[in-house]
Amino acid sequence: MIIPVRCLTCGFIVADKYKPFLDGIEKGEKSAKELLDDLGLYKVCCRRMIIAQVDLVDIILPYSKD
Amino acid sequence: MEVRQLNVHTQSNMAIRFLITNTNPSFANTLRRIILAYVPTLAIDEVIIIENTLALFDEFIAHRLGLIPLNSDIELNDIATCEQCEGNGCNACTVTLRLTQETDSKTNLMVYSKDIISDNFEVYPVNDEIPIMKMGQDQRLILEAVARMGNGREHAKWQPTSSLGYQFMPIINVKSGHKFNKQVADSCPRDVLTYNKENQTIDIQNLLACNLCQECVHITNNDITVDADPRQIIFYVETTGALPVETIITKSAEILEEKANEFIESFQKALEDYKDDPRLRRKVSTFERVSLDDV
Repeated sequence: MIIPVRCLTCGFIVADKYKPFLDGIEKGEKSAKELLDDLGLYKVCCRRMIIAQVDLVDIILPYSKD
Repeated sequence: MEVRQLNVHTQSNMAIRFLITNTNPSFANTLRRIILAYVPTLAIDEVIIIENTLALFDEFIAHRLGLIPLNSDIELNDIATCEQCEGNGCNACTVTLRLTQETDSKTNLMVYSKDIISDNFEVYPVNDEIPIMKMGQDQRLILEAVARMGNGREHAKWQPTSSLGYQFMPIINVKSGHKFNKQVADSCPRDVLTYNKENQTIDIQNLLACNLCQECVHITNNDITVDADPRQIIFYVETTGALPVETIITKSAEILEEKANEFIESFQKALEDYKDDPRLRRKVSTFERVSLDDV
């Protein structure tokens, strides 16, 4: 769906770090590991939130309630 | 008791590590539990959806809004004990936030936490870039959110910390005069031990990084020993951003003081009641003086 606001395990705010992570991956200068470290995601629980995210929200986007 | 700050963990003052000496694990755990359960913060609790034509459900959006940390370093009454409104919500105990977004027939739009408009200039989302929802074409969202003070006992969204814990101070003893090989230093996952090539000895360089894993003890068959000192405690607090770390710690100590004072008061009241009322002495009550002969 859409990236969760907080890490499900510890409550760390991960949502605002997802876009910088994707942008960094697209640039290709740094590895995923370095990017996660730079974003301050030092716990495994927060790292998996970003790595395992699948953006499905774009698929359901056109279906409005009208 | 003495406290010493060790280091600030991240660039943006989001976390703190400090050492408490001459203390015990009970005190550290009390502090930890009070921070988790009783330090109040501000979060959105009620959302009034006026219009929502999005593909996402009302509940979904309301839940995400609740999880956004708001700046809580302000004076706000607790809604349950607010004298002005008797729990119905007023300016002294709640803050209203608004969110209105509309898309045309061409573009999609990501709504971020910075789009939330607050009635109180002191209350705002701490992080600007949290995506709340994505809107498709020709969709509209109008909502009003009510934020109030709460604590972690009620819901985890009111917890002020995202990482919180303590560990005992490690005491590493290396057998003097013994010759070690390089593998011993390499076995440490936290790089606490370094190998001295000339004397073939092991030095301790980064004691506070030790996590008491005992790997060096096993590999050397007890030539190195690792113990923990429960009277010296390393405490780690990491905030979600709602409150500064320093405030969280001082506030938890204040709450502990309040609770202790409350106990002293009710205990003294119980003592007086017992003295005043002769009937109470005969009854088996919650408060009873027991002589040593009875035990």
